[in-house]
Amino acid sequence: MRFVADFIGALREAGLNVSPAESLDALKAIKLLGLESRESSKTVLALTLVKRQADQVIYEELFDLYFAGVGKAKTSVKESNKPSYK
Amino acid sequence: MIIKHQEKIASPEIIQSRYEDLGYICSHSVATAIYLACHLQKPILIEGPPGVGKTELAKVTATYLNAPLIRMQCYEGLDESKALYEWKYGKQLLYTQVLKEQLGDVLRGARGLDESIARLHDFGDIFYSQDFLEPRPLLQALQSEDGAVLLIDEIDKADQEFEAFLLELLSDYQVSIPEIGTVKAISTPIVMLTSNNTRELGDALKRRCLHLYIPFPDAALESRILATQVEGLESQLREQIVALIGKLRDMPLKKSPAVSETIDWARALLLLNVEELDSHWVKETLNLLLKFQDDIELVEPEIAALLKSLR
Repeated sequence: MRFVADFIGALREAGLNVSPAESLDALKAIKLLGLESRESSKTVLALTLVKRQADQVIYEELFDLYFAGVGKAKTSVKESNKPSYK
Repeated sequence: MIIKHQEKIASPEIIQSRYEDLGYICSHSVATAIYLACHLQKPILIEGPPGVGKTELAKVTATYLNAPLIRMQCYEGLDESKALYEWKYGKQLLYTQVLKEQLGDVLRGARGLDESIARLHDFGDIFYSQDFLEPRPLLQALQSEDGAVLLIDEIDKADQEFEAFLLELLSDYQVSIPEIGTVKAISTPIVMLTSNNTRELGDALKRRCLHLYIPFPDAALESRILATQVEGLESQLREQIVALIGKLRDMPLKKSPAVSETIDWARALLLLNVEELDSHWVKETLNLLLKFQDDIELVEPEIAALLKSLR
């Protein structure tokens, strides 16, 4: 769950307006379906967190980074990818 | 909504395969959206190009859950009286007539104006009550005993005011009627909103919904859709149709052919006994796929080349 919260933090930093209510929805959804399947998690988080089609690209990039290797991804998101979203 | 058969919504995979049995081929994300809508009791906002099966999804969901489908088509100028409720004016008028005749009995023996008014108050006021309420789609959905699937179709066509009016319904499943008070859902309906993106919807509305984007299907999915929707279509022709449609969608058209148009086209080709796509038949039937003259003029000279690239 901590992991999802971190991911939401990264989405916010990248410019997506994720509200607390939406974060809660995402957590509830993940609780129902789990994080085991990568494809399923990607769908679940997109359904609950990404409300504008324009944000889909950023979301997918971040998701791939984050779910590839957690620790590594976090630094690379912050350093290399952040400026291009602003 | 009380879903009588919980096993029906036990997992997205079950939903996906059962929908397929009902003739609706959907991707995993569509099935997941339905699953979450049922379990989290949240509305789904479905976006995507016209003709990818957004409305159809609501219909098949109603069939699958054995719930009535209540549909509200949005348009510019749609207001509460069309969407939520109206008073039955005719009956209200009749009621005042009846009241007038009874008035003598009620007021007989009353002394002074004060006592008359007090008696009138005691008589009870049903002028604005459930009896004279004509429920429109939104209220019908809330009052449906066993729950319902509420389809709010093409919400982007309605005004922003109407969108704001929907917020209470979408987050709390209740509406406020000034004369009566708050009406809560007897059984939470499953709400689906569709949008063709003719305008950007408000953030407040989006925050309350799960957001599902249905794109044009990929070739494999579209081929499966055709196989279930068009009986008797040879697989060779089917693959050709799907491939050509894919190419057309890559072209800079005003309106790309949608899944519904692919199905219409395949049915037409089947009726015409076409066994293999050739320039002649494609040209003759192009107007089934493309709805703008500009698009037809753009594609027509390319047909031969397009067909060649399929082989």
